[in-house]
Amino acid sequence: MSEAPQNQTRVKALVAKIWEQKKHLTLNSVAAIERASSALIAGLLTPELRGEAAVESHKLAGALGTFGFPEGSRLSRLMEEILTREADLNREDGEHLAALVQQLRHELDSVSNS
Amino acid sequence: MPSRKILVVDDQDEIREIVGISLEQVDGWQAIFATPGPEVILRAESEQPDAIILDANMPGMDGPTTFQRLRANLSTQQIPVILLTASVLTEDLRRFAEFGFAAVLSKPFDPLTLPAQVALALGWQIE
Repeated sequence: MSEAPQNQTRVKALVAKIWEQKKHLTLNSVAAIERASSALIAGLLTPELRGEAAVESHKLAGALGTFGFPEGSRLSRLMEEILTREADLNREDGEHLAALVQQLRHELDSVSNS
Repeated sequence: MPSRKILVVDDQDEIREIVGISLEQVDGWQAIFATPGPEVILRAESEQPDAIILDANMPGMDGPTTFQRLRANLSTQQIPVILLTASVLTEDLRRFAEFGFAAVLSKPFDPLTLPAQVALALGWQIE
């Protein structure tokens, strides 16, 4: 008999375990983007904050789908697109970013609780 | 099935770990790990893996730079390298295509299908 289904169950369980162990890192990344969006809305966004948020959004875009949050990766990619735009960002961008952060938090909560 | 050793390089611990778990679904595949930087070259030299899976975007020494160092080293230049990237930018993908990676795979990846993607890219058989 093929061992594939057993292997797949095992891999899913191990990935879920790693998510539980490391999800605080994801939440730290989300917090970094949230700090940048708040600073942008307040007109206080520094290049450092923007750079940090861009790096964190890239990491989230690449990782969340692997943990079973494809929508989280999609939202993170939208954040990355805003943060890496070759232009100064304005308050409207900050509000857009804040809304995406809210959606991402909601997504992570809803999938984690399902 | 031949035994395969694959060096996994990523700056995110959790991604290294998942790639390792994913690859070791296949009987005979063993994942070994390195963090970005000179350790990759040293580990590749000493372990002589059958392939390297390399993240594109890493602090310090990124994937393409690491690849160039591996290619410049006589004892690692023959090891096939697969790049994993979260970038969807056409200019990045075009740039990566010019480097000579064995394959460029997208992040996020599905841990259940990654071994098949790796095997396909390298012409390896898996059951």
